[in-house]
Order: sequence, then C-alpha cells, then structure tokens
Amino acid sequence: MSRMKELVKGFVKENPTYVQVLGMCPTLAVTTNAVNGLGMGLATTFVLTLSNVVISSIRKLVPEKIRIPIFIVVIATFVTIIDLLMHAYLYDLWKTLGLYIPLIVVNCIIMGRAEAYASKHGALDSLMDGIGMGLGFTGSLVLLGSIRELFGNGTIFGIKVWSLRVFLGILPPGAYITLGLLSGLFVFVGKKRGDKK
Amino acid sequence: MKVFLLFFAAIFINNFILARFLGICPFLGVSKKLETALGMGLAVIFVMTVSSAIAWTLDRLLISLGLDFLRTIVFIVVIATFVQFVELFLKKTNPGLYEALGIFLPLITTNCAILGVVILNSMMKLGFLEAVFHALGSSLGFTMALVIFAGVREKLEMYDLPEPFRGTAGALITAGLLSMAFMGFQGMVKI
Amino acid sequence: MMKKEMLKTGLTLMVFTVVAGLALSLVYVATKDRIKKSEISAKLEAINQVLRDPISGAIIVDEREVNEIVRREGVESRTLKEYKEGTVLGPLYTFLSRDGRKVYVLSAQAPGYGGNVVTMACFIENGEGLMLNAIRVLDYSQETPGLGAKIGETTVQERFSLIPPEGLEHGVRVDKDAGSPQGTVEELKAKGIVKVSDVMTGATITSRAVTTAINLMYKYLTEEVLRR
Repeated sequence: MSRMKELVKGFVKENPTYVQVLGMCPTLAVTTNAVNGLGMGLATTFVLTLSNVVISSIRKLVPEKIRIPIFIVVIATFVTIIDLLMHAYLYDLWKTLGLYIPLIVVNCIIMGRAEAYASKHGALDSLMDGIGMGLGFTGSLVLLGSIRELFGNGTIFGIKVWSLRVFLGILPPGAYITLGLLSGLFVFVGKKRGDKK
Repeated sequence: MKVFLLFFAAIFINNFILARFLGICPFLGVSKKLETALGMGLAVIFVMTVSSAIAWTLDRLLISLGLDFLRTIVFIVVIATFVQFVELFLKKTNPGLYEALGIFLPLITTNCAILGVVILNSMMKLGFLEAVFHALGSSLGFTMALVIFAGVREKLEMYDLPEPFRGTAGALITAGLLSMAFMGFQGMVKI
Repeated sequence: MMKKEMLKTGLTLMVFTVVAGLALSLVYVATKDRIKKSEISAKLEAINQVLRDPISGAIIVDEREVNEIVRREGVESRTLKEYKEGTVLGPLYTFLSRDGRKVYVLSAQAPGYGGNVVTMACFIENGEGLMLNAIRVLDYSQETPGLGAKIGETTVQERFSLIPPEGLEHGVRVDKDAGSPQGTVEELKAKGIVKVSDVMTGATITSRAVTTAINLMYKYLTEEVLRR
C-alpha cells in the first residue's frame, strides 16, 4: 500500500510542475501542442525512472564527495539512450523536440529526485517515485500543451474543437501567462482544501 | 558579418529566457533582488563563453573520431569540471570575487542555458568564432533579461496582489509581459 | 593517506564513466542502422512527394530509379553554394522522367521568422526552360505555430507548385510583395506571383523564405548546372 502512495504523490500533492516549480525549461518550451507535451513527458519519465533505480542501487558504492558528477553521468547516459531510440523509432517527434531532448540532462526534476529521494531510498521505492513524478510531470505538460493548442490553433491533439484563435496562447508570452494562471489556480485550490480541513 | 548578426540576434530576438526558454530555474530563483541577479548574470557570462570554446574543440574531436553520440555526456562533464575548476581557482587567487560569485557557481552546472548553448552551437554547425560570440550574446541576453526582471520584481513586492498570485504565479505572468515586449524585436535582424 | 583517498575517488569516477560509455556504445551500435533507415525514409518520402504531378498525383519518375539514385547520392545534406539571401543545399538528384525530360531535385534554406526555413523543390526541364513542379517545406521548426508554421500544410505548399518558366525567370514573389494583384491562383503563377495572403494571414516572412529558396535554387540550376 505504501508503495502506491509513493506513486500517487507526484500527481497532485507534490506535483513537480505546479507545486515544486521544477523543470520549467521544457515545460514552457515544448508545450506548443499536446502531442509534443506528451512526448517530452514520456521521455523524461523514462530517464527519471531508470536513473532513479540505478542511482538508488549504487548509492552505497558512491563516495559522498563525487556523487553529483556520478549522478550526472548516469543521467546523461539514459538521456543519450532515449535520444538514440527516438531518433531511430520516432523520427518526426525527435525532430520537433530537437534540442530539448539532450537538455533532459539538466532538467532539475531528475537531479532533484536523485538527490532528494533516490540517494536515500531503496530501489523499488525509487522506481515508484520515478514513475509517479514522471507521470505527474507528463500530465502537467499535456494539460499546458492542450490549453495552448486549444487557444492557439483551435485543436486538442490535432482534433478540431472550435475556430477561435488567440495567437498569443502559442507564442512565448502565452506560455508564461498560461503557466502563471495555472499555478495560481493550483495554489488557490490547494489553499481552499487546506482551509476545509 | 554573420558573427555580429548571431551576436545581436542572441541578445534580443532569440533571447534565451524570453524566447527559447532556457535557464528558467535561475531566472525564477535568483531574480528577487537586483544585486544577486547581476552576480548570477556575470557568472553565467563567464562560464558560458569559456565552456562553449572548450566544448567546440571537443566536439570537433568527437566528430573526427565518429563518437558524436557521446556529445551530451561529454559536454555536461566538461561543464561540471570547468565550474569546479573556476571555483577552486577563484578561491585561491581572488577571494573577493569568489565571495561575490561563489554561491552562484555550483548552481550553474544545472543551468540548462549553458548546456543549451553548447548543444545549439553544435547543432547549428557554427565555426569557432561564431560559437564564442553566439555564447557571449546569449549570456548577455540572459543577464539583461534577469536584471530587468529583478528590477520589476523588486517593485512588485510592494503591490497588493491577490494571494494565490504572490510568488511564482505572479512572477510567471510578469515574465510573460516582458516576453511580449521583447517580441517587438523579432524580424529586425535576419540570420 | 590523502593521496590514496584521492586515487580511490578518481578510480571510482573512472569506472562509472567507462561503464556508461560501454553501455552507450552498445545502444549506439544497436540503433545505428535503424537511425540511418529513418533518415533515408524521411528524405525519400519528401522526394517522392515533390516528384508527383500536382494535378494528376502520379509520380513522374520510375520509383525504382528514385530509390536507386537516392541511395547512390546519399541523404546527408551539404552546401552547394552560399548566396547573400540563403544557401542552396545538396545532394542534387537528377532523374529522367517517364516522358524523357530531365528532372532536378534539390533544397535551399532561407531565413524565416525564427530561424532557417528549408525547402525542397523539383524542377523539370522542358523546351522553354525550367519549370517548378512542386515544393516541400522540410524544416520550419522555428516558425510560429498557428502562424508561420502553417507553411507545413499541404494545401499551402500546393500554392507554390507548377510555376511556368516565364514566372521563374522574373523571380517568384508572394502576392503581398507584388502589390496584392487581383486574379486566380493559376493566373498569377504565370507572372511568378504566388497567392498565399488568404491562407497564410500575417505570416509573409515565412512564405517569403520559401520564395527566396525557390529563386536561389533556380539561379543555381541555371547558372551553375545548365550554364546558360
């Protein structure tokens, strides 16, 4: 049961994007539509889960002083693997996400979970933590991507919803403003709930 | 000629923070005070420019060996090592500057703007001088956005915002308005 | 003892790096062929599209010949000639159409709104000179989604197809740059004017990048390849 809790906490309570405000660069950059958000989210989940498991398994072998460089090497390895795999099997998505795939290395979520969680917990717990945080991140990206796509292009996942178009939604300022409004909403709802209890 | 266009485009049009979304973590993290923002900016200018010179050389080496799939891992290790080295060097030779920049240096390793510029240089297949000026322009643009934003945020503290929008949410919306202002530069310089 | 400690730390770090490097090499070797295949098939798809007759939809060159020539010339893009306005990119593929005309396929890049826009085009040599058969915009990833990125839609790209020799000779322009003249899409093409203002509202810079690329490719073909 407690394992399930490790999984679910990333969805809302400790949502990496809206609550912890981590990994902002890919969040803002690739969410011009829902598909890109989903692709980036899943790629990050892959790296996050595997690096969490590996880091937690080797945590006793790693000297304290050089743990950061070693974590970085582990993370960079998995990022290169997903980069190669996407290049081979998901060519179109790989082309659109471009620069932002190698940049998963410096996504603060991954380093943050390695430092704060995986280096202190067992492999199974870290696996759950990785999947949960990754899916929470993916969900946030898809939500933001859908909103921006809806207002910028009138579609969600390419399916036409209406013909209304607010170009600002898809341009860089729209990314900041939409994310700002969403994170304000998250804080507001979180506070309302807290008051009730 | 291309070098100067790249340089100015990197500052104003493809501004890292406002158009490319690189380096957002320090942008939101250290922009509460003007002074710290400036310190961070200076550290980034230095590290970004020098690491892109080093990485450019290594990139050529990797390509000639046919090992360019190791690019990401090599670049990040170079940046991490370089940052450590700068830290040690400053501590010994210039304690004053170390005091001023010291706390920002470790943060820079995980600043995606640095890795971002290095990978962009490689993807755009820039020459050595172009790569260095592209990095210099990008870091100057980064510092400019950071400093302007910090100035706005210092003022923003005084206003009575609705509660959920204090902090991150308000900062993000402010950044959106700033980014809108910078959109005016688009289309002015062509690469 | 300090030395021993440092040695141990260094060795640990090295072991991890070597293991990581080995793991990566394995994945690299395993995906290498597949990556090459993806690159080739993406390029082949684009080539097959520009080789289609825009009206009938039939491919104008024997498909086996296309496959063979593309494999022989490779797909890695390289600079053929740099101009002030942009760059003409190879490989330059030369085919013979089913009815015996010479067909050229090449690419060019020119600056759009956010970065370079890469266009591939197919020119056919007929009695009067070169005519443009069709284009395909290969890279528009830096263009604004919803505005400039509409250049990726097939219906927009079709506006640039079938431009006759006299149109190409005077230089191709988008209708806004020609003073927004009246007339149907086909009538304007004869004058080298591409009507896009109705389908690419507010994104003249992106469409201009495509016309610039077309003009550069035409210039390269007439001056460097056909030498007239």
